[in-house]
Amino acid sequence: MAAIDIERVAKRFAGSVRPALDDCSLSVPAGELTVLLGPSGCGKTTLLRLVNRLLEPDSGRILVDGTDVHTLPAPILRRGIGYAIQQVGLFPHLSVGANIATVPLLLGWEKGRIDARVGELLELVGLAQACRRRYPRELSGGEQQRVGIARALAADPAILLMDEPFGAVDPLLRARLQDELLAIQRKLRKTIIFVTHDVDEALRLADRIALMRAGCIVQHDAPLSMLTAPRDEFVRSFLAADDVLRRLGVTSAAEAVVAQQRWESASLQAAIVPSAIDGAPVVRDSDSLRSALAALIESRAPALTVVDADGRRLGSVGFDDIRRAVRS
Amino acid sequence: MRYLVEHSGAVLALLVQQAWLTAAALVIASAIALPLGLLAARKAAIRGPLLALLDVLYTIPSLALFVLLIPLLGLGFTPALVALVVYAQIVLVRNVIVGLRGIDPAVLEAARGMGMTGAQRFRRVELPLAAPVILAGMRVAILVTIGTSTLAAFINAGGLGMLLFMGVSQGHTDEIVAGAVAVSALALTANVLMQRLEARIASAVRGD
Ligand SMILES: Nc1ncnc2c1ncn2[C@@H]1O[C@H](COP(=O)(O)OP(=O)(O)OP(=O)(O)O)[C@@H](O)[C@H]1O
Ligand SMILES: [Mg+2]
Repeated sequence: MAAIDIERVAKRFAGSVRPALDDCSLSVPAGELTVLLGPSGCGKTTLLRLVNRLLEPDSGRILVDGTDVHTLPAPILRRGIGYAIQQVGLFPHLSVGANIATVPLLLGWEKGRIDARVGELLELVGLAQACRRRYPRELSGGEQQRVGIARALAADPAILLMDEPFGAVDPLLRARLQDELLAIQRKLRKTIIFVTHDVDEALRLADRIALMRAGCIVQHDAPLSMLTAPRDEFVRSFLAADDVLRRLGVTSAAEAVVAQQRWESASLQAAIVPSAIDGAPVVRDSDSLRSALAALIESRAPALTVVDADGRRLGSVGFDDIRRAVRS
Repeated sequence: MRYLVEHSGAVLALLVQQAWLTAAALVIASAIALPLGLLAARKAAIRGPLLALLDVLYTIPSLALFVLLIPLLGLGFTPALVALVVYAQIVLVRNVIVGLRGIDPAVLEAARGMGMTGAQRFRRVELPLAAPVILAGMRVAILVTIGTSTLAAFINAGGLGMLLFMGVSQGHTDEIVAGAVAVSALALTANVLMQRLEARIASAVRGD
């Protein structure tokens, strides 16, 4: 597991007046997916490329697991950090299998181990084993992106850097790839820095969001906190924090149960909603309130039953509870 | 044609002489053009002046270049070789630069980001991807060099040009025809061989 500590880095490109990064500090917890979010040109890519030393900072330092990245030769450092970019950059003259095998090959793995690993990765990113012998130009955009991610994960790096990996695919496919990334992350628990300028993508994927503006990090928080407690007007308006649907999307059904219980004890009233309703729709505690609300509207029932992973009933929530949960 | 048959031994000897001069020139020229083109592809500060210099070189007629070298290197094989090597740079260096700079930047970024060293990037990514363009340049350079090396007879470097110059000065059409046919045969053969090589490399690079 690796945590990344970015300490007071600054970077100004030759020939530009304004620094691309101005005294940026960021602590990326191990095993979490941190999204770098912000408008175009705010320095997201620059900050990301400092981590694997594709760029060098003018000042400040970056630690991975407490070790200054500068103490390692750049190629060695980079072989331990997965890197996936929007344009993918697959090697057109190499098969999919050979593309995925790039870093293991650089690390000198033996052939049998590489072959087995390539097979595992194709499976992990949802590609058929037959893809191994195909060439990048024979793949769709989504398939290429999956190969890019498999290639970045090939040597099982603890850290993954992703620069708008889904930026060039259509919205439907993007949502699929996001789901797949979340599924992969639940399994692998990598330390991921994911760059995007798409707020919905950030809210969907992030354990934490670092919102940037003009070379500085403005706020670093969990998605829900960003929405409910934006530090300033820029954060509020960039995230469209007042957008109720957006809040519903990042609030879990469990929050509605909490809101209901809080309201009940505060008002010393029993719930208006009966405790168990036959035929009420059932949602998981981890589902978003957005999907819970949709289920409620579709079923025409007065309330939903919220259950945990084992199917135990946590409570029943009605429309008012959902409203209270996002109005905190 | 009768001349060609009757003097086949002599013509063959001249052909071998010219083929040797051409081959030597191309090997040396490539050995210079590859690193030079690589350097110029990387550094804009070198690329601009170098391409301008090659443009100037291109405007000098090859015969004039041979003559210009006489005061420096005299007559014979060596000055001919030097002139041909210099002349071949025009096509070779340009194609090395175009081939390398035509590679998708995202591919190079990925190669770097995954931890390839400079040498590994060059051997595993840049060279194979630039190979088709570099080889096309070599094919043109071979044809240009065969044509130009015919003129090398003018400074006593031998080759099939001897037949042409003697034929012209003595008014022997036979010798001129024989020389022209032999040069064309050399050029056509080289062209076909290079085209095959290009096709092979191109399909290897595409991964078929
Ligand atoms: N190689 C470079 N040379 C000069 N300036 C650069 C270079 N790379 C980036 N910049 C500048 O630095 C600033 C930050 O760029 P960066 O690419 O990090 O932005 P970004 O947040 O990734 O934007 P986007 O969302 O458009 O990708 C911009 O003003 C950009 O013009
Ligand atoms: Mg960017």
